Amino acid sequence: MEAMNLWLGGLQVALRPENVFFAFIGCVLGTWIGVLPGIGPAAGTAILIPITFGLDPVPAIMMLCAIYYGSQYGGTITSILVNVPGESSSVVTCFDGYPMAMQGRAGTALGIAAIGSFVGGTISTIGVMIVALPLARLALKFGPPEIFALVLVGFTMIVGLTGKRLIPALLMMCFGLILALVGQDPVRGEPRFAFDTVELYDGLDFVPVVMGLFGISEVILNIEQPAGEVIKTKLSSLIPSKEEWKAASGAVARGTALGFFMGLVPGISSVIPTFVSYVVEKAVAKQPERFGHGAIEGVAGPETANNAYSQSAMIPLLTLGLPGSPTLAVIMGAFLINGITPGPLLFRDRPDLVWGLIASFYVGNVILLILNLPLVGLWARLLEIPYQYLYSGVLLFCFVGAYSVRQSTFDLGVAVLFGVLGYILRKLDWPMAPIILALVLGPMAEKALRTSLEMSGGDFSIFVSRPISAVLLVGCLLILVGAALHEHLRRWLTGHTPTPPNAA
Amino acid sequence: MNTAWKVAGAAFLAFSIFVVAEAFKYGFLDEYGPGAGFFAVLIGILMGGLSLALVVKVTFFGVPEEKLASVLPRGQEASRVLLVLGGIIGVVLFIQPLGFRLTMLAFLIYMLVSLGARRMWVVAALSLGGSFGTYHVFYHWLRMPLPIGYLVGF
Repeated sequence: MEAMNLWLGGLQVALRPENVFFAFIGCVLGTWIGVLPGIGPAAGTAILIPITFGLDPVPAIMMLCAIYYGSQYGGTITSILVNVPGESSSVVTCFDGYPMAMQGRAGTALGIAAIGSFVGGTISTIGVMIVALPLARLALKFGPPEIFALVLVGFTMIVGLTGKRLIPALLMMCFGLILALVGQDPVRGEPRFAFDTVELYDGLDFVPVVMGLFGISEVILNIEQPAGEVIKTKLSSLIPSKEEWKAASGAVARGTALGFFMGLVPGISSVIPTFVSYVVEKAVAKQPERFGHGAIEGVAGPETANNAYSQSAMIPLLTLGLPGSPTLAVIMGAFLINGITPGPLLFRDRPDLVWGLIASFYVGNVILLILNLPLVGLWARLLEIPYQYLYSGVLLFCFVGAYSVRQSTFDLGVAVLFGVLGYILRKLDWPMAPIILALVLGPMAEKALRTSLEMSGGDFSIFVSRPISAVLLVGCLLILVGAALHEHLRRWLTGHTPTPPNAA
Repeated sequence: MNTAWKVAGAAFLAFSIFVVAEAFKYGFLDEYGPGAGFFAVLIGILMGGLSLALVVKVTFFGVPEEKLASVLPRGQEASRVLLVLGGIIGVVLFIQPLGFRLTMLAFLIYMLVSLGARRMWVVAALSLGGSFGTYHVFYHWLRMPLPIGYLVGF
C-alpha cells in the first residue's frame, strides 16, 4: 500500500509536461539508437549524456532511462526488416522475424513485437514497484563491510558480462580501478597519480572516458571497415490476425516472467533472456518445426522478455547502486554527474526522483508503443543514412560531450586518448565494460574497504564475521561458478536455435 | 593476434609495476590505518599478476577462439583510420585558438569529403548546421559554454 502511494506521487512527477516531453525525446533518441546497427545502447546513451547537462536531475535521468529502454524497442525493427540486429539483444528476433517479413508479414511481426514489449515492460514495472522498497530498506542496514562485499559482487558480475575473456576482463577491471584512483584520496584528501597536473587533481571524469571508449572508438572501427550499400526496406499491415493473437499471447506471458526475474540478477546479459525465451517457446509449441520459418511466438516471446528485462534490471541499480550491464553503468555515471547516488538512500532522500522515474517507465512504454506502431516506416528510413554523415555527427557529439563537462580541452584530449585505447581493445577483442564498471564502483569500493579496516583495526575477518557481508561474499562465489557455467549454458542454448536465415 | 596479446599483456605488466612503485610513495600503512596508496598497491599487484598470467597463457596456449586476423589495419583500412585520427587530433589542437564553430566547420568538411561525400551542397549544409547550429543550441539554448577562440575571436 505504501509503495502504491509513493508510486502515485511519482506518477504526478512523471506526468508533469516537461518530464513527459523529455521522456518522449529519450524514447525517440533511444529508438533511433536501437535502429542503427553499429551504435550500441551503451555508446548511444553515453554520447547523449551531454544533452542532459542543462536539465534538472529528474527530467535528465528520465530521458536517459528512456533512451536505454527505447533502444530495446528500436533494435527489433532492423532485425525483422533486414535481418540485421540493431543491438545484441535483438539477434534472436532475426530467427523468425525476418522469415515473417519474407512472407509479407513484416507488419504483423513488428506489431506483435511492439505490443509484447509494451505488455512485458508494463508488467515488469509493476514488479519493480513491489520489490524496490523492501530491497532498499534491507540495504539501509549495510555498513562499510557490507558495502564493500556488495561492490565485490558487482566486480564479480564483470566475469558474467565477459564470457570467455576472463583474464583480459579482470585486467580491464584493475585498469578501471587504477583510473578511479586518479585525483584526491577520498579518505585523506591527498592527491594521487596527478603528477602536478592541475586538471588531474579532480580525477578523470567519467564522461570523456566513456565518450572515448565507446563513442570515438566505435566510429574509428566502423570507418576502418565501413558497411556496404545503404539498406532499403518495405512494410505491410501491423495488425496480427485472431489466430496470431492467440498464438502470441502465451509467449508474451512467459516472456514477461522470464525477462522480469532475469533482470533482477545483476550481470546477466540482455541476450540471455531472449535466448531462454526462444528455447522455451520452441519447447512448449505444438509444432516446433515452425520455428525458424516465421513462427510468431519466436518473435513475441523474446521481444517481451527483452523489455521486461530492461525494466527490472533497474532494480539492482536503484536499490543497491549496482549497475548490471554496461548501459546501466553509463546511466549510473549520469546519476553521479547529476549529484545523485543510486542506492538505498535514494529512496529516503529523493523519493520524488526514484518514484517519478519508476512511474516514468509506464509513460515511456506508452510513448514507445505509439512511436513503434504508426511510425515504424520512418524508423526504417534511418537505415538509409550514409555512414559518412552518421559517424561525423557522432564524433561531433562526442567532442561536445567531452568538452562540456568541465569546459576543458584536457578532457577532449582524454576522450581522444581513450578513443584510441578503445579502438585497440576492440581489435584485441578485450571487453571495455569492466573499465566503466570499475571506474564507477572503484571509489565506493576503496572507501568501504579502508573504513572497514579502520573499524576492525586492520583485521580482514570483519568481512566474514558480519552475516550480511558473509552472505554477499558467498554470492560472489556463486556468481563466479555461474559465470563458469554460463558459457556452457550459452552453447546449449545456441545449439537449440536455428541458423539465422540469409538476407535477400 | 598472439603477438598482439603478448605485447598488450607486457604493456600492462610494465604499467602495473609503475603503479605499485608510485603508490608506495603515497603511503601503504601508518598509525591511522591504510594510507592513500593502500588500494593502489593491492590493485597494482593484482594487475601485474594478471598481466603475467596472460602473457604466459598466450605463449603456451595461444589466444582463445581467435576471431581477428590482425590488430594493425593495412592498406585502405589504415588510410581511413589515420584520416579519422588526423581529424580528431586536429580538433584537440585547434578548438581553443580557433573556437568551436570554425574548428568544427573545418572538421566536418574534412571528414565528409574524405569519407566520400560528393554532393558539395549537402557537405556545406551539414557542416554549417553541425558547427554553427550545434554551437547555437548548446551555447544559447542549453547554456553550455563552448570555446569561442582567442586568435580569431569567432
